[in-house]
Amino acid sequence: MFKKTTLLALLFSSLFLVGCNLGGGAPAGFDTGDASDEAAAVELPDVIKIGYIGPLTGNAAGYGQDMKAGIELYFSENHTIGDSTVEVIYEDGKCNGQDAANAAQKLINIDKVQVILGGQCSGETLAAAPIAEANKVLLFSSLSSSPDVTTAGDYVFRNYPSDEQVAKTMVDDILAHGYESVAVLTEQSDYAQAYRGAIARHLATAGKESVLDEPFAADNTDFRTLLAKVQESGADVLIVIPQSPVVGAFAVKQAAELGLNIQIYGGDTLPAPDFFDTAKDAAEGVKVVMVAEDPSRSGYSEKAAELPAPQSAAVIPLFGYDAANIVANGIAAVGYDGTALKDYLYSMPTFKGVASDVKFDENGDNNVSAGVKVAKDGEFVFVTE
Amino acid sequence: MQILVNGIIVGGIYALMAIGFNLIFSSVRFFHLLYGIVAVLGIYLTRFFLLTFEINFFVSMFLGAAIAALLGMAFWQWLYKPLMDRKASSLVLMVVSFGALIMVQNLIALIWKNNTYSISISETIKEGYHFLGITITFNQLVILLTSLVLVILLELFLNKTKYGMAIRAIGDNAEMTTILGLKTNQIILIVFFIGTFISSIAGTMVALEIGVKPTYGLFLVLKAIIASIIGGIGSMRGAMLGGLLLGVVENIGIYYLGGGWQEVTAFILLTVFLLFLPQGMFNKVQISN
Repeated sequence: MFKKTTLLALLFSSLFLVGCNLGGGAPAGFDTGDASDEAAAVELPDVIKIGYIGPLTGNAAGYGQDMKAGIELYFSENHTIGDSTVEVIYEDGKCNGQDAANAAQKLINIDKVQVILGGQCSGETLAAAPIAEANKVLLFSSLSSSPDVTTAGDYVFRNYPSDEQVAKTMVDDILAHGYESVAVLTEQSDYAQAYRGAIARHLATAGKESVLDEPFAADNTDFRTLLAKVQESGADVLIVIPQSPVVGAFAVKQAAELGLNIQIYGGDTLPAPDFFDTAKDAAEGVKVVMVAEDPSRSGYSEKAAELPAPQSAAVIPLFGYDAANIVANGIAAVGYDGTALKDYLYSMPTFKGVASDVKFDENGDNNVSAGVKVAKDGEFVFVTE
Repeated sequence: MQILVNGIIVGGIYALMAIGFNLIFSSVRFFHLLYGIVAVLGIYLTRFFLLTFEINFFVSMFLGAAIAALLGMAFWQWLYKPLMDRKASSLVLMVVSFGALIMVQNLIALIWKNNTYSISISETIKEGYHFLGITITFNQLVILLTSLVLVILLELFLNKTKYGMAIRAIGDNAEMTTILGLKTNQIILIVFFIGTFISSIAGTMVALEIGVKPTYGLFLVLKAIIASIIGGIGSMRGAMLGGLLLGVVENIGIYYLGGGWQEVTAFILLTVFLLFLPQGMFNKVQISN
């Protein structure tokens, strides 16, 4: 009897150890296996619900839809985590804090999700962050770039660069080209106003100050009087930070009509078909500073080819793809729990994604470099000089 | 000076919107809030004809405005008139109108999405014409000319034609015109056609400058109401001046206070008029009426 019990105990122990070994191995994205292999060690619900918040309608819908497409692509390739099926619940944050907060409440309190991919607009992420934090739910954004996201909470992560870094690249480029007088027009949104602060800080570091610094109303498309002020200010370079491509396009178009022939810089919200449809030939020569994509990365071109035609920059949905991959790996490794996932993300080794490498710092930020692109023949291409 | 020119051009569009709104208000004496969204529908139809059939801009604009105008007539005949026949108050009609505005706005968003779209006359962006230290763009010239032509045509129609005089008579005393044997409903239908046609043209002019999205319906009708109240509700000349004043003040507000203050400036102007000159510049009908 004792022998039988000992044998059974040994058998279960060895099975347990084998299980532990599987669970402790390097997860997908770290060169071995996929998320479903690792899930053997952790107990998972039959259906894993993952929330999504992003703009699915409105002027910023292009990024939200692109991000959704990237996430959908990952989960169409990886239907399960362990034996559990994955259900992604998409909510429209409409690129504003109020709708994003409502979406976060719904996802957390009704759908009981432990992880939310989003928001995408910074205003969405900043509004959803305190709700996620209070409920110990992981909030993982792939597009929010406001410097304020850095300190938004312990459960808030992003694999996209902060505008603190992007603004520095922009100011460096402006100064490197010898521009002296900078005018800044920024939309009244969390993203653009944080960007405005970062530009002012980096200009101040360089001992400069903008000659004009004006915010404009959200979704405003009438820039004529503001552009007349820019003209009067004697600025030789104009920075326009809108929340959506079409708003930026109207500024560029009206500047050309006014004969304001100065270099225009924009943020990562400009690269989209909507921008070129509205700005037409006036778009030529406009510069944007955004995440430095690298199409030579492993998997970049293959995944980009499988995605529908992007409505924003081609790299955007790939950040979503990577975020879905990291979250799936995390769930497989530590289970479906917001706190465990948060701890996992802080300690995980460098993830080799298709869009970028991902290694989170103590604030949940990922250090990705930014680059300068210029509009040429209807698309933004990296400046090679 | 440039600010003044910008203001006059935007004000010209507001004036057109206010003229159409006032024309309808004079005849039916309630706030036809649907007016704004039917104008927006006209813009979307213009864009549809432009992109789908690649028809000339002005022909597309005319077709879009004509369809919107027919829809305006339909709203009178099948929405407002049955309610008016049942002696519905102006407040009830305004609430119904607002509800219908929201419905049409959502229908437009459903068909054409919630995005902002631009409309252009040409495929390239042309630099404006510079003279006397100011710049006027090609679009702004089109807006100025179209506004002028429409105002002159409307003035001639109202003063020189039989139907125009009947419209003015209804505006002065609707009951008396019925007693005198005029076909009031037929004339109101014409008023809705003309008013909506003008609003759609004005809306398309707005879209040339700042694009179009479904929520612009409320924006347009609010501008029309503010301009009408400033100018004196019921007065065509008042609407014209009210629109121009609103455009100029808004642009001065943007210049001195910043871009975020455009709407605030408009409502400050409205508040000032309501407090100190509630009958507007050219009083014809008291608001309480």
